[in-house]
Amino acid sequence: MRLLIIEDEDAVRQQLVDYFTGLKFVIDSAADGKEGSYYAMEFDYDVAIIDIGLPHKDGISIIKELRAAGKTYPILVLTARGNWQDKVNGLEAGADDYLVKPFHTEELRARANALIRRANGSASPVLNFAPIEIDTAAKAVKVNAQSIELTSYEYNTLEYLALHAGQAISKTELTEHLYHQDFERDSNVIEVFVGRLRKKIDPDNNIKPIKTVRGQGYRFQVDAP
Amino acid sequence: MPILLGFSAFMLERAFRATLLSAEEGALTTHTYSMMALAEPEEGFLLLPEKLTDSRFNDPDSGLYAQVVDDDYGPVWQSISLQISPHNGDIPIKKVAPGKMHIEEFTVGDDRFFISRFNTVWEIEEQDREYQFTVIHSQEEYRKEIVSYRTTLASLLGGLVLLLIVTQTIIIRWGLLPLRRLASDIKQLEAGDIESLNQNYPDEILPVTQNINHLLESEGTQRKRYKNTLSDLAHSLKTPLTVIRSTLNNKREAHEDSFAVIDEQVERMNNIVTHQLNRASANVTKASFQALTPLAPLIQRISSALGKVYQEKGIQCISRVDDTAAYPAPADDLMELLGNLLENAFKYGNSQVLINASRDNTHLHLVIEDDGNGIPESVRSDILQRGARADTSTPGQGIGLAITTDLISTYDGGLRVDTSDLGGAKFHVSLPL
Repeated sequence: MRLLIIEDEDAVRQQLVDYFTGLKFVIDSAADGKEGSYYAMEFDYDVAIIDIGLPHKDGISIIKELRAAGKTYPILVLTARGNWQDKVNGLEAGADDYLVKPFHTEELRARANALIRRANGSASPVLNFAPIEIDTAAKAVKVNAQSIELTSYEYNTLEYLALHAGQAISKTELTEHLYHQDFERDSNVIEVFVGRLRKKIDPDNNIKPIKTVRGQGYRFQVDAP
Repeated sequence: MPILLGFSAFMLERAFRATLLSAEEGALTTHTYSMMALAEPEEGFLLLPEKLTDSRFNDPDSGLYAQVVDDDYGPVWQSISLQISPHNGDIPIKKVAPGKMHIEEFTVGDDRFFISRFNTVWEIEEQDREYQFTVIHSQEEYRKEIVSYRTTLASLLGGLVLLLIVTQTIIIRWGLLPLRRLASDIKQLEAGDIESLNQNYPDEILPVTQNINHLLESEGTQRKRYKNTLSDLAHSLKTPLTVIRSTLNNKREAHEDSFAVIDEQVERMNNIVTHQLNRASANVTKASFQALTPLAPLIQRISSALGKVYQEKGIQCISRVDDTAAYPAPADDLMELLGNLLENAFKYGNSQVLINASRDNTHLHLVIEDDGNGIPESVRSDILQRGARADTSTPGQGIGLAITTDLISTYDGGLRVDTSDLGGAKFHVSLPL
């Protein structure tokens, strides 16, 4: 999952970056409104966490701007004051949820995950593609009620594809949303991951959840038996 | 003013009377002299023609009479008017010093007269005889003139009074015009249509309006500065709290035992900061001129924002608050008050949130209800009391309601928790008007 964090307090930002990196999120972070606005406009994210009070350009303006530019990814605003004027302004500008400082990082993660799911049309934290079941809260995968052990990269790849079920996802998009910029951008790596994922989920090769779309990438789709 | 006018009326009448009297005196003197000119001594008597040239002396109804009185023999000559007048014989005889006009008044029945007496000494046949030339004039004309003068004077003065009253009213109104404008401007100020009084007032009022503007301005800046300071304070305290909390969270395993304690304390500190911030920035000191804030748009904004956050629940939010519902409080206060109650309704409601507003003579009533599980009676008072002691509240429970309770008490209002007909909680806010 690719995440944008715009937060001017260094300590808070660094902690969020560390925390979400630990969860294998791909993160861009910015310390001020201008830089943040650049990222927000330039890339597509799975979710953005934007502080309202920022130097150079406030969070509300950034949100308005990126919504006006047609960016639809979910946004969660952070507010220190926690007053309703801020909350309502943020939501009216185009944010999808708010969190008042100080927050529990777990709550932020839960909210961010909920927004990602919602953006992909799923309300429940558990994605059910019988016989495959993906619990996005616990980051656990079951096939035919059997737990499958996955590395975080494998899990993230699966979750991303499953959240965009039915859509063809290019290798480039996968790379951007799952791996850090500095990661070697070799599409072979993706192929290796997908290959390993297929073997783990579907060792007998009879579900075939991840289809290869020629020239376009991969599509997650579980056909009815 | 009426006293002044009454006095001048009195003085004018006196002056007029004096003029009339002196004219009368002149006339009497003239008559006396013309009689004396006609008088001629003859055969030891002073003789006058029977008819005088002034025809009034020959007409008994004219009210002008004359006679000549001999000191020793009484009247020796009378004008025709006097001879046939019923008053003949009523004329008082009185001796006066010679050579000087003596004028006085006398009354016969209802009739009043002026009488002039002039004693003169004639040498007739080498003997000095003293004669008194008397002219009597009825006061009828004189009275009539005075009455007509009075009438004229009264109507003129009356007109003058009327004119004065009208002009005075106009002048006062005109003079008070700036004050009226000031009053209407202040009304507009209260309604929030304008932010300060304009400056094109007359010099007499300008200092007042300028001072009001200064007051408004300094109050505004002070308010703003106060809020900014508090906001900065809150911000600067919240950042370290956020850092502490996430550090704690990230290293949870390392100090599992102290986690709960520190987290609880962080929560407490946060609640104190939030609570005090909201208390202080809620406009505790009511502004001098508070405009009415319509409620419907606020409710609309908050509920559509919350609808977005609680999108998955598909809450149906029905506001029966019409456009006329308004309350004299700043929008941000009302937003805070409504926001927390509405958030609870959206959070705990299953599918429905209902908002109602009504007013009676003394209060504005706001009712917010949902179809959730409601609030057990046993904890209802706790929920409301926490406002007063947010600093000791148990961790993990938001202080939204506490802020609302605080705000409501700032406005001397009340909050009641009930069970809604929908099954969930029903919050009833009443704010004094």
